[in-house]
Amino acid sequence: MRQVKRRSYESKKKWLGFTFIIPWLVGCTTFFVRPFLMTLYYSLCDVKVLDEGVSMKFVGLKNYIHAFTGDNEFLPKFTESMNNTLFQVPLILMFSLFIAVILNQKFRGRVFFRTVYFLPVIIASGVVISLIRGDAFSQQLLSGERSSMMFQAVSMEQLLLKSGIINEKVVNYMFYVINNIFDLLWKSGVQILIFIAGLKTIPPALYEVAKIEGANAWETFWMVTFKMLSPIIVVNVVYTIIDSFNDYLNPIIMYISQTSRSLNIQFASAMAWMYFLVVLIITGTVLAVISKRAFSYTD
Amino acid sequence: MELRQLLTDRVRQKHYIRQAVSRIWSVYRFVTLFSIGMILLFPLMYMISVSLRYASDLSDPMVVWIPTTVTFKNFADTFKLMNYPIAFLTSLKLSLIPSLLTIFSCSLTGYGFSRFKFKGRNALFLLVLLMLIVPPQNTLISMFLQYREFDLFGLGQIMRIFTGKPFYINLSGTDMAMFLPAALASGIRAGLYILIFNKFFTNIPTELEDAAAIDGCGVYKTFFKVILPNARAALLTVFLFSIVWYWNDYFYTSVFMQNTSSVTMQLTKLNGILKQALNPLHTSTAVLDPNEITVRLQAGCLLALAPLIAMYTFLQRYFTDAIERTGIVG
Repeated sequence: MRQVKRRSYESKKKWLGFTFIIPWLVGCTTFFVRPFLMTLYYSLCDVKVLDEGVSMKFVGLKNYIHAFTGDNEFLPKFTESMNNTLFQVPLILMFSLFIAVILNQKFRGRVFFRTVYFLPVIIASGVVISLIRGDAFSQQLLSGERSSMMFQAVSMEQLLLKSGIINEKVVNYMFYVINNIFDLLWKSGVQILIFIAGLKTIPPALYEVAKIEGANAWETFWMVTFKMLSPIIVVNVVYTIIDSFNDYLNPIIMYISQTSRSLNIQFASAMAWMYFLVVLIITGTVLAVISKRAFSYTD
Repeated sequence: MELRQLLTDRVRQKHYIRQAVSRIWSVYRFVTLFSIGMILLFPLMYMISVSLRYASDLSDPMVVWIPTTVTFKNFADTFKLMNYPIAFLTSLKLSLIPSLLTIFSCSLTGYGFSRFKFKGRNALFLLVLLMLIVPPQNTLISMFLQYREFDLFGLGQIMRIFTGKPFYINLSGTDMAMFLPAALASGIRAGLYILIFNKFFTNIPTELEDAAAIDGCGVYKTFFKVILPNARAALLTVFLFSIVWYWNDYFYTSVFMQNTSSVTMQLTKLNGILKQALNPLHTSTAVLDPNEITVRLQAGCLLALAPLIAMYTFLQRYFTDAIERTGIVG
């Protein structure tokens, strides 16, 4: 008892601080680390789920090899997921930054618009959205078929492709954006929020300096807003990449869930682990590359 | 005299140009925000428009948004078929309790990570980030198998020494399958919440705690009496995120609690229920107008979202304010 009392305040505080995270540590080991490692183990085994329990036989890398040689759905779905992310992430980021900058200005009705722009986070329930998507009538309305034939993207695309003014790839990317605008907008809710929070932290004095120095709006955006926002951009890039990879509508994620629901546990686990490792490597690389360029006060 | 005239003209000219630019910009801003806002409001407007009409209006090419006759029959039907009052209470239980547990456990964890420099802190914090990165699909099945034979954090294995057999309880299908992870800061998206709390507490000046410590407040007392009351913004943000994600959850609920009748679960079954109910002769051969199902399905969607939308409009002002003050990104 005396020993405890004689400890310095600092070291006692360290020990007490650890007690704050004990509940999480217990929960994390039970509900995250253990299932996570079990998945790795299942992926190396032949698993059969029986009523009285699970029977396992160690088979090594067989399930991993099966993904490349025996299964003809894994690779196409994997590359499609990668492509989706590659296309989406820059668009979501640019779009949400643009909207956040606008919403951060003072104008009439901004409270209303902020409410609307946060709606995706509230409604983005897989069930509701998939019910609306599965509805032929809503698709008609959304693509504008019902109200007007004039703004259909198809004819416009043909026109641009045939005119040959713009590179074919650029045109394709443009129409990817137009045709998927609904999805892209719906995935930007949290990012807009994070950007607005970040914009609030930029000291107004910097804008005054820029004004006195005679910078125009374009220069001010790049020299002040973008630069001061760069740490938050890093946060958002990482969040968007993870969110986009882990989106349950991603083909590979859907394939994994489907496989595990049909109780082909070993194969689902192997795919899940491969996917996780790729996501980890990509996220890590992106983070390492961009976080160096971000602004920080200590430099 | 002439020079002066020229100068004032110049100034006036510049002033006009600036005014014109700002006016064009505000029009452009409104058009942009409005058109994008329309896309975001589309699902909501669509649900309202479709659920208020008779099925015949769906196939009427003259009707786009505004139905010829407004009816509340779809809502009445779906309300009964979904068993809405019970579903609502189930959902409330399965989202409110885990959310309250989550804000408590996650704020505790976030505080621990932000204020105390114990050994292995950085390594453990990497674990928090890992919780965020690993797709939930990765751990779902092994979690399900673990729930079927839950050994009480290893305590069940100790029982093996006394009785020769490990002691298990079956958690799957019980409310505990949702409550327990939430209470231990490992529920739905817990990694994100810990991160938010961690950022928030790092931004709070330490003077407050130092003063409390000098006044003889213990670490726990400081946390509950000083820190938590000052963290209202972060608590509200996380609570609202959490309750939305728990309410809308289908992924975990459908695996851990297959037989529960939460609103979201009922909504996924609604298509089948409607097919049954709208087929008066109970024969699968009778042709059923799919529009009859569509209008009621949209009414169901609206009923499922109504509590969230009501809560959001009510708390909206605090919420957007709170998020901005949380310093999620600080």
